[in-house]
Amino acid sequence: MIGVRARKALFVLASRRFAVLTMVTMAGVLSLSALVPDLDTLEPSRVDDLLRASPLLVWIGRHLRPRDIVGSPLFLLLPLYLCAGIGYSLLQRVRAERKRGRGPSPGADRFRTERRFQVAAPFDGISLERQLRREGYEVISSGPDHVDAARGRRGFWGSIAFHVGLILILIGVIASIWTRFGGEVMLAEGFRIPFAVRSMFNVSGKSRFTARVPSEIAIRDFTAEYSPAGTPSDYAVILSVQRGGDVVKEQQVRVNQAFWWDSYQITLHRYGFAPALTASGPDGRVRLDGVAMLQLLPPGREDALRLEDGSRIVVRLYPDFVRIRGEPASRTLAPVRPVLLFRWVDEKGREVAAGSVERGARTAINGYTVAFPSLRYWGGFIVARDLGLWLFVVGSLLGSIGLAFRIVFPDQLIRTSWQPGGGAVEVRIRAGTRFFPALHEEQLDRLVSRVRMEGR
Amino acid sequence: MTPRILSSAIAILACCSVLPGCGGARQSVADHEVLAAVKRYNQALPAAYARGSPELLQESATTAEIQRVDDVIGFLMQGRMIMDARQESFDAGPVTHEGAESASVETTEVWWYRHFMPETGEVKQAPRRVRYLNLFRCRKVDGRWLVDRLEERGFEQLPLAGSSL
Repeated sequence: MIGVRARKALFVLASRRFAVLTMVTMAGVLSLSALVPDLDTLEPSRVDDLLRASPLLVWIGRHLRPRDIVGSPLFLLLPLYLCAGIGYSLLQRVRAERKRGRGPSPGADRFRTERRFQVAAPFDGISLERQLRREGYEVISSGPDHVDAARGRRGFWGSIAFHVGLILILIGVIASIWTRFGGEVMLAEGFRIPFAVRSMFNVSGKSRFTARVPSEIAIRDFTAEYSPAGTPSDYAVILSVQRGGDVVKEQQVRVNQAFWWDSYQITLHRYGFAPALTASGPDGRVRLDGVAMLQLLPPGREDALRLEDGSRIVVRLYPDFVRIRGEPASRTLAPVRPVLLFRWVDEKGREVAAGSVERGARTAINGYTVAFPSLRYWGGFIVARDLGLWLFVVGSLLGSIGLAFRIVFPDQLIRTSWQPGGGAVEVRIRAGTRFFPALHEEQLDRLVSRVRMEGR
Repeated sequence: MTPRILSSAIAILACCSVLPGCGGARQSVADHEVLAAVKRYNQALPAAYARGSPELLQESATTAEIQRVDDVIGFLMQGRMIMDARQESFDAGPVTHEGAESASVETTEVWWYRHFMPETGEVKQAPRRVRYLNLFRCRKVDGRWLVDRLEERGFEQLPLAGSSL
């Protein structure tokens, strides 16, 4: 009884329908996990924003947790099952193909057609055989009254390549689930930070970050190019990896040009200005001495810098300062004339000083001094790793090439026979093709006309 | 292979060869460093002229070049003028390295500028728009590339009508 049930279960598992159902389920869950953000890694304010914009996504993220499902061992069984199924089927097909040898492919009889015509005697089939070989057919059997030929063997191997590609993609899914990591790191020119998960934010797959060798990353020589209207058109920077102070790799990074380090892809994602600032109170004590990373857009956007005594300096940076009808503005986004407007707010929320300071200058208001010695850039870099990606790429390429071969070289079969008559020979052609019946009929008609021409 | 399949294959291959070009060419680190110095210099120059502060070029130029700019500022100061200048476009040719610590690059730049007296607002030289052919000679000082000498190789006055300003 158990044997019968197991056999039934195996029959269901081995069925194409079940495999397709599994593939659709897997694709659905993977799409959901890609679309629904990981709520655990988002800041509460961003979750609230998302809740307002798309409550369904948040509900799915909270209750169905597609990312957890994708990471579960049970989910990994799906691609493994599909791999096993496709692998077994491939084995069977290759065995059958080798057994078939030069014989016709069973699929070639899918669309059948027939032609009868007469040619002048004597007709020995040599011209027909020559025409068939010219068309890429391989003669599988010939005699004094018949020639059988087939083509499309390359199409079979194309199909095999397509399925091998599919297996690689499925292994890619597993590799991706095990290794996928994403995070963002912000770097200001002149500073270096450890290439470690603690230096990053918006991290997904924290436990999957594995740096083989401890290292530090830094940027320098940031350049931005601007259109005549002043908007940025391109930006580039030198990104370097250092170990113990020695540069082990450095390269220019531009938009769409990644930097690879330790199997991680590092891409420049956004940038802004990082003014160096020093601030001291009426007592002369330095309250701030460092570099602030400010958002670039829009110019004049307010950012607050908290000081150790509880007070804060609210700053607005105008990279190309100009006054329009008395109001501060920036003519372009290029740092041509950077001016920092500041408000110093004490720990009780009272504004104690307000003013502006140009790059390279110092301003003192009511005893509060703010200096702006230099302006640097900062870059926001996406750090990502997905070892399944390469398998996806190779699998997709192989699959596409295989599919192209399958379509370009379909299984086709031609069986010809003739009966010698009085002054004419009647030739009968029975042809079959796996795909494109109309095209095949057209090719067949051309073949017939050529054989008739030669037989004249 | 039918002509339709062949033409589709050619179209796909053409797309594949064009798409990688969207990222632009990657420059060598040395070329990037030299051009970064030139761009920093060009971005700091208008503020240096407007404020009469050649020291704003300290991060991008050597003492010799800062002195040259200081001379121009000194000349303007004698007439109580300052220069209001803006770069409209910048194109750089290939960087030529002459040894490990010296390099040069030719650029084509369009500048808009005028001279005026800040105290009265009187414009002493009407706005001009000029295309310059420049040669930047750069030098590596303490591990950092700086503009050592700017040589003006030619210029062409352009109509103001096309100015973005």
